[in-house]
Amino acid sequence: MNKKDELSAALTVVDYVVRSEQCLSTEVGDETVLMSVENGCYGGLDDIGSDIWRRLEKPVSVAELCDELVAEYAADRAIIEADVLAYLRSLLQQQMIKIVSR
Amino acid sequence: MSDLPVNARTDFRLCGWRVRSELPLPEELAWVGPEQPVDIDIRLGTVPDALINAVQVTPFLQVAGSGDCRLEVAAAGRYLMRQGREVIVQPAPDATSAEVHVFLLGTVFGLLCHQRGLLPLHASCVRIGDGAVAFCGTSGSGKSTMAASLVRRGHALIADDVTAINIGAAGGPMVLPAMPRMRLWRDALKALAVPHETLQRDRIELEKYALPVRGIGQFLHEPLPLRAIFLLKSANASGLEGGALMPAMESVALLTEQIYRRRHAEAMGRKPELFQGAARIANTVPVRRLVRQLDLGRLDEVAAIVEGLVGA
Repeated sequence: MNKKDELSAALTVVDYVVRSEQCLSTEVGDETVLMSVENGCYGGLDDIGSDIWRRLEKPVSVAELCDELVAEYAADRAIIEADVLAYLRSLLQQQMIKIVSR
Repeated sequence: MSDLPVNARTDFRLCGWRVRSELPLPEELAWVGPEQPVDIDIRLGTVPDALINAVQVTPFLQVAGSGDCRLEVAAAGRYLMRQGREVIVQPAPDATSAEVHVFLLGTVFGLLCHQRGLLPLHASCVRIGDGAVAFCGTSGSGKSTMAASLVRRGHALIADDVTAINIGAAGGPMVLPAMPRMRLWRDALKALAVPHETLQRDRIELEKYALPVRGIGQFLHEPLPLRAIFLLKSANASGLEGGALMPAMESVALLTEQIYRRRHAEAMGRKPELFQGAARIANTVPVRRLVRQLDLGRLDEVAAIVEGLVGA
């Protein structure tokens, strides 16, 4: 495992995450398009992905983020938590977000 | 400097700017507009050996922290571009007028667009109906040929090869008209029934010729709102993919890639601005992929598909 993978695998609900300054984002239609300043890679987020992205503008704990989403989407907490962790780990791996201390 | 004519300063019109130049620009561009301050001043002078505090973006180009650019091409000379307002040209000792102009009207023009906050796309552009339609694609994908076949069908040319877009215009992105000429391959000229013998041959790509666009109504001098963008791709098979809309992420990525002299502009610190600009375009106009066989006998068929999609 390289360092990036270790970092993303280690993410837990008590961590705080925020958008990385290495990532540019913009909304096109219902989608959010991300671009890494460093390597020029692009990513696209669907409507729920975009909703989560909007909530990552300021540092937020994964637990808090899950609370908000459980309320918003009236879904099962365990499912949301698993999905959100998987999603945030992939964003971490692509350096679109970062873990911050709080 | 063999045949380089030097003018008394003369005013020209380019992208709506008033350009005062010691080097002659195409005569069709002579300034006829109202009295207004000069936007860009092009002068002969001495360009320093290097810019202070600069990044060497390519072997030919330096960009300083201030955004000033220095271009040096052995055969043509040195060019210094400051603040999007001033160009100093120091021609190489034996450069011809044509060699000096290739870079002045190409890279220098593109960098001035960047310094002035525009988004120049590597695209050709014509007016169809009441809006501007731009054709992007890699070199050899047929941008100019596409535009030329539409001009033959009665649509006005707005720009060839570099399309300058004012992203922040109040009513949405506006295309600013550039030069009334096109660069076309010899076989494309033949397909369009234009004799090449009297045309000026390209300095670098020898099978390309400069075709002036002088007919009445064939060139548009006024800015026009952007209505659509087509990405041209050539296919070997005879199949024709009639302009599928591209998804958001692909559109933004594609448009960013199609920005003229993008690496130079990124060195000026424009990366975030260009990304937002590409997104603004993708949010405003349809971006379509047009895959067709580069069959010069079928230019009208493809042009008719474009007209249909744009709704002309």
